[in-house]
Amino acid sequence: MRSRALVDLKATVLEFKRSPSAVFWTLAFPILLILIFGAIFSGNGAGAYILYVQDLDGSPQSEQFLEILNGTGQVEVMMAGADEDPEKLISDKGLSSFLIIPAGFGQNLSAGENVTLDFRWDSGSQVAITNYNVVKSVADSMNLAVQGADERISVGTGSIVDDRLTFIDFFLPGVLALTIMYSTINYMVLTITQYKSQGLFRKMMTTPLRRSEWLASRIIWQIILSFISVAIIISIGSLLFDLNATINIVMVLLILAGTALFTSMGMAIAGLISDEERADAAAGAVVFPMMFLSGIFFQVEAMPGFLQTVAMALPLTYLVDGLRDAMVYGNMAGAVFNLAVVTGLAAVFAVLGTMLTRWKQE
Amino acid sequence: MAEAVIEVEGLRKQYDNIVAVDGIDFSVRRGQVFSLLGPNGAGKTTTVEMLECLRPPSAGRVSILGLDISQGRRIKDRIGVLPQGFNAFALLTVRENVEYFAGMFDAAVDVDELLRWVKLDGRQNELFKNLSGGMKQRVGIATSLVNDPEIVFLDEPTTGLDPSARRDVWRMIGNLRDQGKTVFLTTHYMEEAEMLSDYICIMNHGRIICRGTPREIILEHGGSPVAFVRGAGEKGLRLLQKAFPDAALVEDDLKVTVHNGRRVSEILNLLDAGEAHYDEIVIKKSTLEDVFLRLTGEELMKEGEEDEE
Repeated sequence: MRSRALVDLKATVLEFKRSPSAVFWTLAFPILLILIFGAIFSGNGAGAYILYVQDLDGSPQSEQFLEILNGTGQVEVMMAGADEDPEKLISDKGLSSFLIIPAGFGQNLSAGENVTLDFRWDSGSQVAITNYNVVKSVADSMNLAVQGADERISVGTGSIVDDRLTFIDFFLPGVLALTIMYSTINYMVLTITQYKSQGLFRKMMTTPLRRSEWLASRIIWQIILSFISVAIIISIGSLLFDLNATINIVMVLLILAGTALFTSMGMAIAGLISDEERADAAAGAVVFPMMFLSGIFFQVEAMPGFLQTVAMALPLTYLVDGLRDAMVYGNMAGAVFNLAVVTGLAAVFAVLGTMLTRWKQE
Repeated sequence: MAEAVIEVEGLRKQYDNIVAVDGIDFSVRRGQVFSLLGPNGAGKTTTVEMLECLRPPSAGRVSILGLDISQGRRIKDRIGVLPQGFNAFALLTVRENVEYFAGMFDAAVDVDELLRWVKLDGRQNELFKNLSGGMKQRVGIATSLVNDPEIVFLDEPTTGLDPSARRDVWRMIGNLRDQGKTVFLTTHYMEEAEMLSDYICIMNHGRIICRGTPREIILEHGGSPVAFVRGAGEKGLRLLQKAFPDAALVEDDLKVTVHNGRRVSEILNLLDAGEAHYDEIVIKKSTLEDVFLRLTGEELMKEGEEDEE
């Protein structure tokens, strides 16, 4: 007996190879993600942010303040001339923060009077917030010194995860999960709606090919594709960035279960909505919230409470958490729990997807 | 007479409140080109889909090659189907598409031979999406022949094709009949059915309203031939009026129905005897199109309209 599923698999591979958009979204897009985000977050970048300072005082005290500020290494102080207009400088240079040391700073400080530094900022800017905190901490330490306290309070940091881990280690499992999610959902929705509208399913129905054989072929292909993209993403991560994540059996099982889950979810979407355009929109409506709310780009813990609840309801969250547990934290109990959730969801959606998939445009 | 390969009795299909097929009976004999004819929405495609084991009937009995349609798998091995508006895999070549469908059957024909037969051997490496409508249809016909079927179902095979591609399909249908295959054709083109078919059933509103060979149907329901005597004018009318009381003038042309055993030569003799001038005489026989109009009072679909059913 011929294996009809294999015949279909061969056709699937040929169609994929000849579809530039499928190749891009499945293989090239995750590489771009890793490269871009890896480059943004991996290194320490410029390290210090630039802070423009206008010293209207010019006293030893203000110079000392600037010296300490520079000494933190957290900011790179750029001096603005005393005669320059701060407003103009801010708008010309597009600055998000600007520090003015007022005239009389040293004199008042020596006299034991209160002084106020004039920090102008765009409070929505990450850079400005960082600069503000640095200025504030320098001011605090000078306060202590002025008050003659000997004791310096400092905060030492100790990492709660393995120190060798880098940003890319946390980001990469998310990219794996993301790639599996959108490429399988998009592929299934597109294929099913197209085959339906083009009457290909109707033609297939007139042959001995069974629906289950067709589905088996497509799921096998999605699994092969998932492992190809996982291999590519991990290779890039190891070659270009300092990747320490580990590969293990739970991670492999998570990838299998995740692929089955999102393949079935794609089938369910295409089964519910036959029209090509509307199905594409529906796929977007499912893919995008999961993309941004499953802790890949933003930590779930940092989200407002109601969004955390939403994140907990998204299947992708469990795949991301599971992959991180397995690959980064070495938390096998957590990984197995997440694997169980993903597998359970996959079973539910497989039943749903198979029930909803009709070969014929009714 | 050859044995019946398709037998249909009391076949009925109902969707909610709509009766798509309302109790029809017919049989198709081996080696025939059988046409199911009718306007859109007549129930043709629903009927064909029940015969192809794609839809269960609401009532009635269908047997294909001696098998009840509940034995879908065994039937599918022995029939070939070209669905309405056929499309293959856009990104596969002609050859890959034919090989795909051949791969679905345990016993398949030689793909090279099949490609030669549909005259696509020279384009076998072209992608399906780049083919013209006529060539796509040839791929479709090839995919419906991969299992060397005994019955070939062709659902609206020429809809949307240009005249030359349409003639190609007609030629292939003729060749299939020459090879002894039974062809079940669904069409709303009367001309096509008249030219290709051995037997025709005309459907309307889910029922068969008329059946027979094209000639039988036209003789029985088509009415008498009409002679148009162009340019005969008033003088011609006066000469013929006595012998042909229903003769009428349409502008300068004379329109005369030739019935009740009368002959066209009578018209010519009368005109010649009266020394009437005329440019030409044209005899129009009834066609299936006329038959359909007479039977239903409805016009069939005009060319180029959408044909959803």
